[in-house]
Amino acid sequence: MPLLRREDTGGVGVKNPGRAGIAAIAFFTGLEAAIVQVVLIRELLTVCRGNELIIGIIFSSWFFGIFLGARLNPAGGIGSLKRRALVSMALLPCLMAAAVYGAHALQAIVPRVAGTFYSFSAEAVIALVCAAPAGFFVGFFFPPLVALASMEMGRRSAGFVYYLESLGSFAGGIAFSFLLVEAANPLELASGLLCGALVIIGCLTDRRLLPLVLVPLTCVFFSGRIETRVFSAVWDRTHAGTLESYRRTRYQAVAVESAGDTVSVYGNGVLVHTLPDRYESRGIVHLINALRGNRKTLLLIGSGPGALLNNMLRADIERLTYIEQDPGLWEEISPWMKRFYPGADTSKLSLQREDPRHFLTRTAGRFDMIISMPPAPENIMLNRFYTREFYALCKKRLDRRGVFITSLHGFSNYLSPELRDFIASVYRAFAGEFSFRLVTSGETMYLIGAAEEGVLPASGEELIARYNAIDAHPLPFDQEIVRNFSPRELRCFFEKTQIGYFKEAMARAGGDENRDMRPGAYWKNIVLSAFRERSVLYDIIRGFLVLPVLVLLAAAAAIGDIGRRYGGRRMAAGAVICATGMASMSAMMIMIILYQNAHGIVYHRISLINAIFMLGLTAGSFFSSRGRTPRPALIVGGAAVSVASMLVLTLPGTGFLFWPLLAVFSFLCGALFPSLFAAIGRDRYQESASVLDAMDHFGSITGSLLTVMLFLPVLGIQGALAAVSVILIPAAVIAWKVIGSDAG
Amino acid sequence: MTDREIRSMQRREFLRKTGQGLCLFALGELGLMGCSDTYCQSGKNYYTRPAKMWKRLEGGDVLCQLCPNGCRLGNGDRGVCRVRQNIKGELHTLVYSRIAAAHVDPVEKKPMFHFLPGETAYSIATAGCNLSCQFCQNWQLSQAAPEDLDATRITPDDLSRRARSAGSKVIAFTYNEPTVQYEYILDAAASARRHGIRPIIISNGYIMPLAGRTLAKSLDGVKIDLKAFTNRFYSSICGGRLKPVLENLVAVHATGTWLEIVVLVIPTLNDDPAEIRKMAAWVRKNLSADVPMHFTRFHAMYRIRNLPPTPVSTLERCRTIAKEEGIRYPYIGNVSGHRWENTFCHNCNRMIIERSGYFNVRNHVRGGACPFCGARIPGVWV
Ligand code: SF4
Repeated sequence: MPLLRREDTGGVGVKNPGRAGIAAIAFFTGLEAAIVQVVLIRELLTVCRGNELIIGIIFSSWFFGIFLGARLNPAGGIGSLKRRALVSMALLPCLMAAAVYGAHALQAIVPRVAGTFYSFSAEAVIALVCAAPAGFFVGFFFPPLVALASMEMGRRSAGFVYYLESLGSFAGGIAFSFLLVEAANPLELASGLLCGALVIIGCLTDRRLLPLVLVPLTCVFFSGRIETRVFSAVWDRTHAGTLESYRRTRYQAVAVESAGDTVSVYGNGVLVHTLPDRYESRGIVHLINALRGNRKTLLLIGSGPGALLNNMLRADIERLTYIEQDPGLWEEISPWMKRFYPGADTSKLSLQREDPRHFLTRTAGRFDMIISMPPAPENIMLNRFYTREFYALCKKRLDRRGVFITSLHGFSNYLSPELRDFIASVYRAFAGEFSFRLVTSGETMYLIGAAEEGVLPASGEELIARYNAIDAHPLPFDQEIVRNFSPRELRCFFEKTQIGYFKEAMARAGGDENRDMRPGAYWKNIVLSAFRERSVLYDIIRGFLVLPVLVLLAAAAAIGDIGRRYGGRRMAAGAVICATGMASMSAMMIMIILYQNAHGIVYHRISLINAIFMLGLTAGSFFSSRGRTPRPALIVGGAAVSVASMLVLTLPGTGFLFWPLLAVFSFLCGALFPSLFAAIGRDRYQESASVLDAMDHFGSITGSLLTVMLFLPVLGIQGALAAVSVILIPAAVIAWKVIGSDAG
Repeated sequence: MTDREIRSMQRREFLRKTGQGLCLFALGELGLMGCSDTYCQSGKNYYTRPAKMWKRLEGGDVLCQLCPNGCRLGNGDRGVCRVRQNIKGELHTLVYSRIAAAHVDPVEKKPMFHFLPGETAYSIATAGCNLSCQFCQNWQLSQAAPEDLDATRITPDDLSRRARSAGSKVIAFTYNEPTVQYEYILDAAASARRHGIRPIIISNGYIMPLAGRTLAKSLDGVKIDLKAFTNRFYSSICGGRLKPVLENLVAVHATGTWLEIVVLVIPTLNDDPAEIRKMAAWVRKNLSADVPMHFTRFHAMYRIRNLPPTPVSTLERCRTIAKEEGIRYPYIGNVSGHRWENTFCHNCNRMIIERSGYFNVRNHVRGGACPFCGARIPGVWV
């Protein structure tokens, strides 16, 4: 099929943008794509729940858009091709702004009962509707640009566009990570990107268009006010209180809401703390104080800056170390803390603003008591505070006669198998580290451990008797905490039948202990949420082979379609790049999780990891399109080895290998595209680009879905890496047998 | 199956049942039978019993008249509550003695503040509920079908024995909605009374007045959740209606069985002061000023997981409104240590029961009267 219609090639006023123009479009669209993708993830996570499952669905939706954009791309004349590339570039930021504010506004348009989340199925639809259109234009610009480039560069055109796009993505990732993450809101970003797109369009088509830049520039000026208006209006209609402030920190979007005489803080749309919380904290303050005895150094993680922290500062202690990993959140909440808890003695307080695991690893200090009260393990980052490795770290930092306390989602009166297995995976991890332990009953359970015998009371009654004997009356706490208090109240933590039932249930529960590399609690928490909502997801999870079968069928259909239309070689190339796309997405997600395990919250680093990946792609595609094009089979084989070698990162002390391994893998992924293109491109460049780009992203969809819903939950991190590596082997064989090299 | 039942069996019947049991066991092992229940395998399902409160319709359908859902069920269908089924043209309960949770709780936890303060209640639950409140604390029980839960068979007499050996003077049918255990409760309550134990239910009150009256008469105490005072709340959050609950409250109160009302105050959903005022006025006018009202604090639960707890000031306001409307015993709940968890004599306003949490209760009421002024305090005290 001819690439260009004749009338468009012969000076009818439409010029090919030329090498520089193509480079500018590719680079800038790549830059836009990187920023748009990461902004969409951040913003959609505030509407949906911020776990890897949702991230996987957002990624899939994004790639689905790219897949469609790349596939629905008929041949055309220079004018049409150029228009497609330029329009895609201009529409991308507009669609991002529409998706971001549309997703927020949706909450007011499709109201849900205050305090509920949309179901997983609804969240999947929101992710699809918001991410796919922008993704579409990331896919839509590519084949036309390759077709335009092919007029000058022939079969090296795809490599050229690909590495410039990757380079743009690298630049976008770096800019976002280090400059824009906290500085600009989505409207500002969208306006800025649109300015850039309009300048390029003006320069490549008609300079009279340049004044249009003033429109988005004006938007930049008013963006803060516009966003505040939109967010306040939506928040007040959908939440219990009034929005006081909204801020994007490097880690999350922090919202502060006031209702009556209380203030609540939300991180990424999920309730984190409510102040004041004296009445809620009454029980736990006394429980901790009773267990404390005369212990003097405390480490507090995740409790929030409320009554527990402020009352413990009044106790007879020497030092209280409190860890808040998001400094931005602390800045937002601390004025309220001062208002609700005036006169706290902060001389004993040592505030650490870093990831708690990081702190525990680096500190040399020991503590008499470590109290960990993390949010539920909704995502793998939070799951790190419920694993055997975390408990081991805490135990290491405890004094010889120290006490460790951690909270956990408990049960009311009955443990369904879903809840039982979730609790069991955490309990086993805890019990594996702490041989001497006490367990409390209730909707929030506390697991209390000690490394030595005799440190803990044998039972709740003994603890109550000990607390009775402490001569510290009046207790130095707030009125709400001490009024009418009797140690008998602590019995609510030790309800006998509940504890007996719990022990029996734990003995019956299935599954492994929760570990960093096998984050069972995280997955079981998702299953529990799906079960609670009775969402379609629950059925998909229960019949866990449904998803792989669906994915296989869809892949077979897509690859078969290519075979029917374009023949066996392109079909084989589609299959190979699909497998590699899947592997690259899986490996990326696993790398992000490994990075999280080592460093904590990485939202602002996701774009950096992405950027380094893009840099690898750039280098790989540059090398592959400039030098002697390597054989696709060798590249895929190398990628399989590279993924397998990532297993080394699961060993302790190998963090320094993270970036080199990421770079090598991305280099190989980048090298594959031009190599395959050169092997199958011939003169049908746009078709080949369309097939490869579409199937690459189709692979990415399958990778993101399978990773979050099958590989990680069933195989754990090591198993997932091994599986991905194995999947690449048949792809390498196909590449070897069917495609050969560019000479083939 | 109890030992006595086995002993009383004729030899032939024993052999027949053993044979049946073996066949069923084999089928089960081969995966041909879905039921893993011991009683099913022995050929007799003790949990399935003919139901009360229903009528036959044409074509083998039945109409359940137990609760206002009024389910019309074809053969094999189950009601909204998941625990009542039309089996060959007859309505059956599937949860007779099918107990999924059993705990010993303080009576205050129910909460019942004027009913044997400081005593414990042997508390049990089955699967099922006729509403679907999005804030249900016990959703794992209430929103499940019986076969989804691990259950133990506890006959009515067993229940009384268990309560007695746990030292409980009260049996509470609670956690899930007791209405749907109607047949079992009638038998178990009669047995409890024979054993000198007081049966109570903790209910959503969503029951037809006739059934509600019959049930209440068999009990010594009823706690009803009045979830809101608008039909909108009932229909959008709970899948029910307000009117039947109000009708049932009147019916239960008329029986003379001790009644307390709990209102779980949820921010923005049912905390409008005007609504609370109307509710309190209705209680005083249609029931009595002596019916205690508990305004309890909401905590994130079930599907409403992203809402802050009710501000204490909101609860204090509700309590003040109820007092202004003439309710003599309005309380604040789920706020351990709050002054208004205590009971104050309506006559002399002195503190007569001190509470902080469920486990620290000091009851000064003597013979059902205020120790300071001698006024009779409504409730069940001995
Ligand atoms: S008790 Fe159950 S079956 Fe009967 S009407 Fe109510 S919901 Fe329907």
